[in-house]
Order: sequence, then structure tokens, then C-alpha cells
Amino acid sequence: MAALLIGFVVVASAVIWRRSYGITQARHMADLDRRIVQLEAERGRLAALIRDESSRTQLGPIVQQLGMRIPDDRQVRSIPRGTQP
Amino acid sequence: MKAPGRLTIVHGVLVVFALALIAKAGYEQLFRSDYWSKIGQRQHYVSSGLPAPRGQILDATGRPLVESREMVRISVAPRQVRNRAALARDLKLASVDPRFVSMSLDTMRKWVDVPGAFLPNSVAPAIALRGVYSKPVMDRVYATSGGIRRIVGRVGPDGKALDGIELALDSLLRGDTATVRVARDKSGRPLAAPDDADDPTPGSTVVLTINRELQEICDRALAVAVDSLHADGGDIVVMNPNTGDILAMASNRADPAAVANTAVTEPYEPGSTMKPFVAARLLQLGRATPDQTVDTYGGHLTINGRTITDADEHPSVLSLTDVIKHSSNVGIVRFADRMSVREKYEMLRDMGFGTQTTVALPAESPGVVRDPSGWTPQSAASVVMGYEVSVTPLQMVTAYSAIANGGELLVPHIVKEIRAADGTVRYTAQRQVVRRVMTPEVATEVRTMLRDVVAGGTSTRADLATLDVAGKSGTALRNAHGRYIAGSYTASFVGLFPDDKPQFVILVKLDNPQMGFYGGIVAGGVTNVVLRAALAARDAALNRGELASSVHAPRPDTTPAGKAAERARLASEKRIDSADVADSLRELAHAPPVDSDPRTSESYVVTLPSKTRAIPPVVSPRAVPDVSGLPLRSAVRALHAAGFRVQLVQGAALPLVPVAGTMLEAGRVVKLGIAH
Repeated sequence: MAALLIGFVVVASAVIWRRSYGITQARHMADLDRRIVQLEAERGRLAALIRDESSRTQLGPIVQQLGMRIPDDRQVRSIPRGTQP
Repeated sequence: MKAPGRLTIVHGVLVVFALALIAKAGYEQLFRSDYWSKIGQRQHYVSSGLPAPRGQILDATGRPLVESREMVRISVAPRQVRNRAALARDLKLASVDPRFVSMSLDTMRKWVDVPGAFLPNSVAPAIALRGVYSKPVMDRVYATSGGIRRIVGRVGPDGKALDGIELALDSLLRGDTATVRVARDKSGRPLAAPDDADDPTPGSTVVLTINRELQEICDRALAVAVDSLHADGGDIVVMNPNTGDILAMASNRADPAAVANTAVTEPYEPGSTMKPFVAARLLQLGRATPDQTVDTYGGHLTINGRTITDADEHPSVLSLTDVIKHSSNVGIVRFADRMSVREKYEMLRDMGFGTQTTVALPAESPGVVRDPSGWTPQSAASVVMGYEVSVTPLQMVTAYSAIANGGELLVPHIVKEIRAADGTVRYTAQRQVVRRVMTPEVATEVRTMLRDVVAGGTSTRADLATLDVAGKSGTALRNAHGRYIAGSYTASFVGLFPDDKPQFVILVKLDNPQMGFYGGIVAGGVTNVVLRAALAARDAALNRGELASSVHAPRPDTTPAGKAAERARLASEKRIDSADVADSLRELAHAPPVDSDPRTSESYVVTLPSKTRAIPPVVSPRAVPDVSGLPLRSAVRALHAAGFRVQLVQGAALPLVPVAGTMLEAGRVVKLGIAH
């Protein structure tokens, strides 16, 4: 009878430990998933920021302040394919 | 018989009660197990929707124009909050409206939905607190360019597409939301298990024909033009005439609340840009040749009680080519008399006016082409001058593309490709011909006429020095509530670039510009700026190899307008693009229309700017360093490091001129004396 009781307690403890461990791991995985989402969102925000800051809409006024200009078409050379330098 | 004692009765009742309990338990277990099992599942598990990321929208080169990112909406149950100070701090850090921070701490409220979506990072500390609940939502990140936003449209806060490509292709972009069943922990929070979730199906990726760099060039040029010319607004559309690809589509309105893509939604009366189609149809029908002439009666003609006049001075007898070159209203009306009313109407319909182009953008206007049964006696003359007909900028560019590509009217398209989330190509745009509207020979003849317009006609401002541009300007009175408004014009120019093998058909339209109104001057000027910027850009959808064959040596332009354009161009070499555009346009807007008569050209005095001078850098004076006692090499190095130029002087009276400590601007020469 005592052996049965001890066996029951051991098995029950193992089951509870296994479930607790699973829950802890699931919680950890959920945290990692959330972290991935956070970092992806941050990556997207930074990529969009870089795109926006390098657009002509943003650069135009700065370029204007620096006194830069659009080159004349005479200053642009279009090189045909296959032309050797 | 002895009556049972009270204890026996109590025991009996307890036994009966126990038996009843066992019976009830047995009944529930044996006969209602399914019911209780469902209740248990419902309490332990919760169904949660996983939002599908909307598909990306890319430009033709694969750069993202719009993409999705996961954001978080938060709600607070104030009565469950334990750490109120931390919640207040975390919500403030996440830039939550202070009113809602107060509401979130008010225990009189059961539930508070905080408005707006937040970056997961910014609200992560708040979400970790008891009483704060979060829900993931997908947010769209748009490119800054206003023009691109008008094309791609918007998605509302509830995730529903509102306009643009987002609306037109919503079913493809939105993807499929997944529903997952997740276990809940003791506090009711979802506990994700690794194997119980089906990922949502992301939306398809839409690749547009838009070239982002060219689009930004057009956006910027248009914004500067609208601002500097004090126009009500404007549109620019650039199309590849050989494929029907829309490469750029910019719209701008002075009213910042206007967000519609007016290049497809807002028709306008095109004015003289309609004339080349009349010429093409006359040539096609064999009713005229480019060299045939008509008398324009000095630029005044009265028909049915209405006097038609020409804006520009020109010889009275004009060939069809010259009618286009000088944009003679009288000339085109006289030539168009060779067509019947029905033929004029068919010409308009054949060019695609009065019907939608079927481009994948919502709210496209078909324009207005009235049936001949509704024409007045003056309509036949009006339509060939571009009045009593309304077209969208996209329709006009599509029609000019037919002239550019040898006579085929194409279906314009803005969607190049659609790819499913797994990379499978679901749609690829194909060149689609609506109909042939002129023979290649007629198209070539009309292109030659359009080349003359830019080379020496009304639109020399659009021309480039080393590449030829063909095109036609239009200056049309604007109509409001059925009446034409004096002094209010739509200035437009449609260009083919380069003229021999066009890669771009570009339309520039400015609504009611106040600082000049001639289409060839103001819209032609903007065209010139866009083309120059496109040539200078790294990738603006130009085939450089093919372009190289069209380049010729720079050609001096001796016409007054040519000189003015040259002056503006030279001025541009020392000015920035937008300032240059603005100044050149202002200057040219006040110039009279082009006149090729050599007698009048003598009255112009054109002052070319002096040699380009670089803007001197702003330098602050600094002290000349003390180099006494230093070896010569170190002394020179120290002076250079201080920003001065050094001149060595043998046998100088002073070792350093000026002396150490003198305040001098950087770049000035300092004389360093050396012994014999």
C-alpha cells in the first residue's frame, strides 16, 4: 500500500513537473516571439526612416541650401552598350 | 418496534445525500461528459485572431513604396491595475494622450481603449503590467512622397482600404487572417503552444510600374512649379509609350486636404494639345498633307457668330506643319473643315477620350466627349481646338503614346506584377493594344511636326541642348459652372523624349498659374527640368544605351525664346534646381510667346550671365599660429593645419608675415621667411 502511495506521488510529481516545465518554455517562446515582432517593427521603422530621409522630398531643401544644382544635359554622358573606355 | 433514534435518522439522511451525490456525479460523468468537456475547453482555451500582414507595394525596381509592420493597440482595465505609478509612467513614455493616461488610472471606469496603434517596443513595459491588455494590428508604412501616396492610396485605422492601389487590389493585398486556439494561464493571459497555430497567409506583393526616382523628380518639380507660379495645382504623368507602363504620376493641389489622384480623377479641357490628333486624322484620311496650306486670315476667323483668334503672330498662310508649330486655332479649324462632324467625334473616341483607360486605380474619370447629336453649331470648331472636350491627364498621355510608338493606342498599366506570398507570380502585365489609330508613317509625320513645335515653335522652353524633344503645348481657358473665366488658364505641355525613339511621353499640366500662363513656357519649362533631372539621375527608367544613339552635339539656339531658355539654363549652372525652376519660370512666364519673326527678335536684348562663379565658402577668421623656433617642415605643416596657404620668402625681414596672433581668414597666404 505504501509503495503504491509513493509510486502515485512520484508519478504525479513527474506529471506536474513536466507540465510546469512546458508552461515555462511556452512562456519563454511567447516572449521571444514578442521580441521578434518588436525588432521587426523597429527594423521597419528604421528602414522607412532611411528611405524617407534619403528621398528627394527631404533632400531637396537641403540641396537648395547647399547651392547644388541639376546638371545640364550637356554635362551628362550616356554611354552606349559595348563601348570601350 | 422501537422508533429509530435521532442519530440514526441523521445518518440515514447523510447516506441518502451521499447516494444522491454519487448518483448525480455518475449521471454527469456518464451522460453529460461532452457538455462539461466543452465548458472546460471554453474556459481553458481562447480563440485568437492573428492578423495577416498586408502585401508590400514595390516600385518597378523592387524598392518598397508601402510595407506592413505589426503595431499594438492597448486597452486598460483600471480596476485591475496594481502599480498605478508605473502604468502612468509607461503610458507617458509611449506618448499616450495625457487624457487617456488619466482615464486609464480612473477606477470609476471598467475599461479604457487607448486610441492609436503603438510600436511594440514603446508599449512593451506597459503591456507587462497587470490590467493592461494588448492586441496586435497591422499598420502600413508609406513613403514620404506625396505623389506616391496618391497612387498607392491609404488604409484606414480599422484596416480597410480607402483609395488608390490599396483599394483597387484590396482582395489581393489583405491576405487571410488566421484563427488560433491558445491555452490561457491562471490569470487569463494566452499561453501560446508551438504546435497549435496556423500562420496567417500574408497578402500578395504588388510591383508597380512606377519608378520611384522619377516619381520623386516629378513630385519635386511639380511642387516647386505650383508654389512659384501660384497655381491652384497641377499634374505630371510620365509613360513609356512602347509598353504603356506609367512611370510616374504626380498630382499637387494648393489645398493640402486634397488627396485624390487627380491625374486619373479630374478631367480638364486640353486646348491646343488636341491639335496633333486632328492633324494625324487628316493625314490618315488623306485629306491633307503636311505641306498643304490654308489662309488663316491674319489669325481671325468668324464662324456662326463666334470669332476665333490666334494668340501668336504668324504668317497668314500656314501649312499643316506650321499650324501645329504656331498652334493656330484658325488654321486647325480650317483644316478640320475637311472632316465631317461624325469623323471628328470618331477621332476623339478612337484616341481613347470619353472612356476609361481601365488602369487599376479607383475613381477613374472617363472624361467628357459628347455625342454629336448634342453638339452646338460651334462645337465642331471647339473640339478641334481642345474645347468642349474633357480628358484626364492619363488619357492624354496614352493618346500621345500612340503618336510616339508608331500608331498603336495601348492600355496603360500601373501594375507590373503580382506575386503571392510564396513567390508564385500571379499576374504579369503584358503590352496590350487597344487599336491602331494611325499608320507608322502618319505617326512619324506627326512626330516631325511636334519636333518643330519644340525646335522653333511655341514650346522651345522644353528643349534640351543635346537631345531632341518633340511635343505640343496647350493654353486653355478654364471653365467653371458652364462659363469660361477670363484670365484663368490651364497651361499644359505633352512631350515625347527623345523625339526619334521616344522613351518618355510626359505631360505637365498646371491649373490656373498666376505668374504666366502659356503652356509652352510654364509647363514646357517644368518638362525641361524633369527631363534634365531624369538624365542626371542614377535610375530614372531611361534606356541609356538607346539614348546614346539620340545624343547630338549641342546646338546653339538663336531664337529669342531659345536665348531666354539658354540664359535660364546657364543660370541653372550656378543655382539649385528648385530655385532655378522657380526663377526661370517666373522670368519666362512674363516673356511674350515665342515669335520666330526675325524683325521682332531684334527688339530683345539678351544678357548672358558672366562666367559662373562658385559661391565663396563662409570662413571665420582665425589667428595665425606662432611657429617661431619650429623646423621649417613643422612650421609649414602647422600653418597648413590652421587653414592658411604658405609662401616661402628667402631672406625676409620678418620670419612670419603677418605676425603670429593676427586674425586672418582661412585660405589667405601667410609669408614664411627663411634664412639664406
